[in-house]
Amino acid sequence: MKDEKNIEEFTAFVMNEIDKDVPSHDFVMNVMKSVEVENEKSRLIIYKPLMPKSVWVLIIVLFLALTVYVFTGSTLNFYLISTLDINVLNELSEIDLFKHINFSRTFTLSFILFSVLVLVQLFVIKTYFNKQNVV
Amino acid sequence: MNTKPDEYYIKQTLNGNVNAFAILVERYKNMVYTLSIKIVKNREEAEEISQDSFVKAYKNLSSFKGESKFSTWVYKIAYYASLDAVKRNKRFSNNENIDDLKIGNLSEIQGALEYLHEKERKKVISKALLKLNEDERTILTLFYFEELPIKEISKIINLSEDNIKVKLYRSRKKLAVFLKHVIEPRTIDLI
Repeated sequence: MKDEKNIEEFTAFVMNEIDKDVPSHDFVMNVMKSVEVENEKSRLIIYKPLMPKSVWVLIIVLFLALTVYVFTGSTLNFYLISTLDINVLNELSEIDLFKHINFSRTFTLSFILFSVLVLVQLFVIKTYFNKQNVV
Repeated sequence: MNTKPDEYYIKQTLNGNVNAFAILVERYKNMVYTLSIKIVKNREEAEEISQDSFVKAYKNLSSFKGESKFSTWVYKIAYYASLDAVKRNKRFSNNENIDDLKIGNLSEIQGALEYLHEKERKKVISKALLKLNEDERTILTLFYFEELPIKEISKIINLSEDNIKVKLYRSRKKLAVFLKHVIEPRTIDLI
């Protein structure tokens, strides 16, 4: 206990002998210049959505129309839709792309496991980089 | 005089008054720089790291929730940026094993140090300090220069308080051992 106290006092004496380091006199000015550059950058970069609102509206309308058609059959009497040849959709549903492709049980399980691991990795990597950016 | 608390200047900065951030930089520049130079051991590099740390703090200021002090947050950014620089340049300090070495009589070492000319004394102490590893130098710097409590240091270095206490004790012991061997040369080469 006494030794610990002695060593504490000794370290305090030693550390007291060292001067604090001081950065260059234009340190604050340099930091503020960089801050200004950052502000300029954020002013210049205007974030635009990848898809404009009109495209989103179109996608939603088409999706809703298709959903209504699927659930209610051919009850859609809208002028535009009634002119469409929706029999194509019926034909499409008859096409079985995977008819001749057979996956073994092992392959299916491996594929599912692989996909899950990719998702887990994505989450882990995202968290890691978020931590790197902001401490 | 800018005597208002950090929170005031943080709020001002977030409201668009960039000059308020300069006050925070002015307030913590010495400690951030001291912390960085103690880790990277190079003036130019430490200056660059310190500046980058403040810019990073500015960019992420909106995500600062005030769960810790602003100073703790900035020191943490500077600490990790400095460690990254050391890692990049593969310049990690060696971990000298001091368990088998005896400290000896501390008052004798202190007496011998006091006997030295001031400039020489500072040089010897600085060299001994640089023989410690990065964490040990950081802990001693924060504890003695900034007089931070163990709790704050543990937040910066991301270690438990007990772990910091142990490391602090070991750092003190190591520093004493290294200084002893400067006074009694040829046992450990400090140069």
